[in-house]
Amino acid sequence: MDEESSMKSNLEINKKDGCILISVNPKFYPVDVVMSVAYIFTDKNYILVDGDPSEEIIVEIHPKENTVELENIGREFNNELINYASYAIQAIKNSKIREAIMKRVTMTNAPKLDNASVTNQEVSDEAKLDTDFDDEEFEFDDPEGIAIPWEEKYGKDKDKQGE
Amino acid sequence: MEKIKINKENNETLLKFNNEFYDENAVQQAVSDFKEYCNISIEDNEITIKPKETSDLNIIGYEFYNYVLGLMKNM
Repeated sequence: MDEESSMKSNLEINKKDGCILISVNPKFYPVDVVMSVAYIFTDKNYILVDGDPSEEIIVEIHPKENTVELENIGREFNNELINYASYAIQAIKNSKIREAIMKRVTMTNAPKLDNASVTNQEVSDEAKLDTDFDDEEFEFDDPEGIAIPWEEKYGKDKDKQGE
Repeated sequence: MEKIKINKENNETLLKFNNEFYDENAVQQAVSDFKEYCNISIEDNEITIKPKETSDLNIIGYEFYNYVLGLMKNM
């Protein structure tokens, strides 16, 4: 290994060309994670991505300004890979919960339909949603009164009661 | 890894994109956006960029790569 280039962990530092090559294992970091991280480094660096998505991803980083901190840049890249990969894993784990919450929110504010316009499928879906969410499992304190539906709190009937 | 080749005689830069990583639509969009400043030709995965004004051929190539990454992020 000559003085102009050196290997450290998954980093190949090329001082002569002023660049660093990072070897990424796609079994740990999917391509979309690598590309997302690569993008955030484009602010201060030029980024090129190559390799084989099934074997090895190679990220080539050229700082826009001459710097001797090539190794630091490589290690920052590794840190961001962990950061984004962790986020991606959590997003997958939470996807069902997030979807369920969004369904609940949209159903709560959906206008009530008369029997003539409601199809059997819609009735079945709404019934299923109610059984999926047992209100007793979702009891929580609401000291600020935020969880009260808008209609209940400010609706026309409420105004008439106040007169 | 030669992803950027400089041809000083013809004043052009040759870029090679790996379709496994770079979205083809993003590359096409970048080509379209750069045409205002450069003459660009595409053959297979190779893009030849010839700036209309005197420019650093390396920088143009690198900026093109970064630009494609940016387009992919917003897709």
